[in-house]
Amino acid sequence: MEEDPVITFTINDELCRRAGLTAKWINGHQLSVAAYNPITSTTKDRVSDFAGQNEVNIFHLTTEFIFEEPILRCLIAEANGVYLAVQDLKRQGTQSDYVKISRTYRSIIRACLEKLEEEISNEEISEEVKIRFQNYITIFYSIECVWHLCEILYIDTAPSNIVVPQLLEWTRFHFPSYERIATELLLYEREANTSEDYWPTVKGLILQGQIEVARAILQLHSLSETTAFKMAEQILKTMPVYNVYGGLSIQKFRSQWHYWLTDTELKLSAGILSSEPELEEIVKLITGNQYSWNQQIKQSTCWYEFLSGYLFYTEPACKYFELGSFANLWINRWANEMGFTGSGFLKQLDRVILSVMENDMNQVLHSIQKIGDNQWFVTHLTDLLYHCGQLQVMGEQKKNIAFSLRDALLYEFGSALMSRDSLWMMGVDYLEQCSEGAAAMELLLTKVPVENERQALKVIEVAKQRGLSSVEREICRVQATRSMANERYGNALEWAIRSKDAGAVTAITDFFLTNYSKTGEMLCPDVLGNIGGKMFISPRLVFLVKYFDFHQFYKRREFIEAAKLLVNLLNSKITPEYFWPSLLIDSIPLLESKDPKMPSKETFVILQHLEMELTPLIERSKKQMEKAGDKQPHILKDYRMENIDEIVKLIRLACARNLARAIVIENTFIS
Amino acid sequence: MTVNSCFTSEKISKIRWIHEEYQDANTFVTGSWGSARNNIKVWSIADSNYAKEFSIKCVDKHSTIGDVTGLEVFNKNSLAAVTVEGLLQVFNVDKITDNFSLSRRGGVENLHKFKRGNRAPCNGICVYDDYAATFGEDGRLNILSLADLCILHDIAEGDNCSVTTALFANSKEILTGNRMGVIKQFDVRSKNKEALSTFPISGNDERKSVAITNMCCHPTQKHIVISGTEEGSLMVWDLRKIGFPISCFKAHAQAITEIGFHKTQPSRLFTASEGGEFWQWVQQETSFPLNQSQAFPSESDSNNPWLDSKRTKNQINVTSLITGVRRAINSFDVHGSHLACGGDNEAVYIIATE
Repeated sequence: MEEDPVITFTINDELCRRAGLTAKWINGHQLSVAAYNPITSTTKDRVSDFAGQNEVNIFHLTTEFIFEEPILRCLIAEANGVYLAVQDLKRQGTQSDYVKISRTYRSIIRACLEKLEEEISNEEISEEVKIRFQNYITIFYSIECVWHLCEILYIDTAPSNIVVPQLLEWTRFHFPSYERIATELLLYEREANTSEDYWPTVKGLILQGQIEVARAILQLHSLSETTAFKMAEQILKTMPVYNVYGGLSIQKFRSQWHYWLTDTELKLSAGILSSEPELEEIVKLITGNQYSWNQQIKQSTCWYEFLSGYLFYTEPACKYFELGSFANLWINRWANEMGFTGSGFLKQLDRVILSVMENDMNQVLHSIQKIGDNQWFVTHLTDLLYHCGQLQVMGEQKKNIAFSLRDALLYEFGSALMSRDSLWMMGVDYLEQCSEGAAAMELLLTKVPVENERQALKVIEVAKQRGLSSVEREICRVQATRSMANERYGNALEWAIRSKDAGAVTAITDFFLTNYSKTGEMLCPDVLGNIGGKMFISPRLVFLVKYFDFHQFYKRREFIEAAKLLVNLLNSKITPEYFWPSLLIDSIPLLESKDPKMPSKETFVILQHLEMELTPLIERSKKQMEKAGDKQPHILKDYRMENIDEIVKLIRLACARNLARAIVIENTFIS
Repeated sequence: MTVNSCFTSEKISKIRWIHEEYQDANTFVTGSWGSARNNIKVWSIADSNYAKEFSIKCVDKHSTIGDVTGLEVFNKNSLAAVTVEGLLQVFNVDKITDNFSLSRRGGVENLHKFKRGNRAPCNGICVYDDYAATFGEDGRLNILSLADLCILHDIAEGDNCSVTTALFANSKEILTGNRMGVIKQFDVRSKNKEALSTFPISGNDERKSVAITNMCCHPTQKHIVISGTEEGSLMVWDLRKIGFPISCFKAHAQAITEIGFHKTQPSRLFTASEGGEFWQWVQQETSFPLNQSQAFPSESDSNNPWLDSKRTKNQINVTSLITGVRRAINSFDVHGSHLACGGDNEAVYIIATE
């Protein structure tokens, strides 16, 4: 295996040149580069030599990503759907399922190529864009070509591993020019041979093994009724073609074929076709005449153009595992004829095709990673081959590492998509399928840029579907914090409830309560009034909601209900310390009202809480104040009253008055 | 029924048909979300050479910053679009010798703001004739005139929770739904900016918030409102007796993204979901003998199956219109026999039901 070349990027900066460089990844695809002078424990502590001399620049390098281009984006989006269909089959699909999927992938690529070509032919686009699109066409053409070959050899395998018929198909597909002209010629009918394309086309068809079409065109020749043409027709017609389903054993076929071959060669040497040199040439080709084929090789545009045709005439029953050695023989012959030496004459695509034919999977995967498509091809092909059980890649210990290879590729491709703002949803599909995926998704989903609540809900939905509750919570928490900053307190509370984080809910609830005791304003009544069963996430919230209900009763002048609820709250043991003054002050109007609302027992409860909770609290906070050297105890404060001692005095007084009244009433029997 | 699809290279947030008078619509507009620059695109469909297949082609576009969160057609061929940035734009979709083009008529900026003055995301728009209402994360409702492009009225503190959806119940009343599952009713003309009424919904689990994700009202019996929730269920309300939903049933497995009746065939309701489902709810032909004197039996209250939960279950058939979409269908629209939908798998689907 050859070494991958190291690619060097030059940062054109004076300071960087003098001091040196450091770099850090910003995210999966951006690298931040800046000048850096290494400081170690032995470096002298003094002003840097470089200080203040040059401009300080920070450079951001980004990897090339082709899928931002709308046409290509359609390709990955559509292919993503197919990819998901593959996963749904759970490796249980039939061969025809996978063949269908492979063809769908290829048709997506073909559609994309068509669109690119359409764009290039558009007059309005700039030269630069044209070049870029041309480059994409090269990339995706190669991908389609290799994919098609892989489909033939690995997925759509014929019974008994015969490959020639499908190889012919593949060649025809990728060198369609002869067939195209043939169609035109067939429309000419009798005049066909007047076209200067006539003989090259017939020959081309023969070279591609398309005997039927070639015969049809020969019929159109104005001399087709002559003996020579009739002889040629006879030879072409009687040529035995190997067919797996034909019922002939290979041995039988071979003997038939040899018989036909000897017969034809005899005819040729007898010179029966010498009157028509072009016809003679054609018949020579179908007998596999070395000299004639060598002549044709010189016309070929790449090494594999005529390989399948040659095999068709010389090794029609060639099996898949023999293909590699035939390909190598052919490539040597081709190089020889073309006058190439060394190894540099093969282009990347040529080499990949050779590796596929040699069934050298390691090499194939290695090469297609460098195709410049951000690993789209290698990931999807590997995944498909893995699913149909055709991926056999040997690792160091001769173990099949197919699974871990697919895993790694999906991981890479998925993470790359996740780091692109608008493609994160697709990234998740790839990460989901690999073993480290859940952890990666957990990390990466929280990094998806979320600019508004709609986007947040989208990320949450994706996380929820995959059971990543930590992501869900994290995003809700962030949204709660954002809402707090925007003074949308009710909204913040709702997000905190969604986050299922009792701590966050309590913190926001505290804000509501302290705000109330400071200002007397109850924030967001519409939210508090509709919390309902959701309040049970935090005792503090239960307190707030119940306290809000108390206010509602009071507002509606349902004082008896209000008084009951207030006493319940006092007894509830969930009252936050700082709220005792406010809660107890709330009892004053109920105690002091003209008609009694608090029975004696409840009044005792109020007194009890005043003495047991508030008074010790005041003592404690006073001590703290003294320690801190602050004279005024102002922690415990209510908007209605400044002085805490005053508050205590007033409540005691109110309790005493009400108690007197209540005892009298309760002990008066009206008969 | 035939389904044609086209990949758009962007996630679709809204899709709407441009209305045509005497035929099925064949021009639609889409809004996108989730990219650095988003687009409002006009597409036209044409019969292709193959039978029953359409070719779908983008004919014009307008690029904008921020997600397109709302897109509504008014006055037949005018378009009101809002972006998350709080920008309302009005376009004309004009047909000039078979080609549609998009021309911007004007806009209103900064529709939604938090208390500190920073921009608040706008969550969408609803229209009624020439009037529109925008709603957002700041809980504000803006009532605008689309003809004059100005704010007529605003309810600054409509909701202390983000408003996720809104609907004009009639020319003077608007309903809003929020993320914690509360529907509010406002009078858009009154000086009193408090909600006329408020009604909360509850989901399966009392302890969880269930957002209202979308609402629609019956095309002929305007007091029937159906809301879709985050849990994928439908709730039917009768605006004359609000407080509790008339019926509630579990539909989709994931959040409902859009819900709407066929405008001229009220017996058909459509729902789309976050899970990639797109369903049609068709009212069956009534099997019991009808009172002959009623000219339009389905128009009468007693026969509307949505108003009775038992009858809803017995008389309404649900069919799935599309399969194999694995991501949210964010929006759909129906016109005549043509249905269009699109979503996060970056494709639009055109379904011809005839």
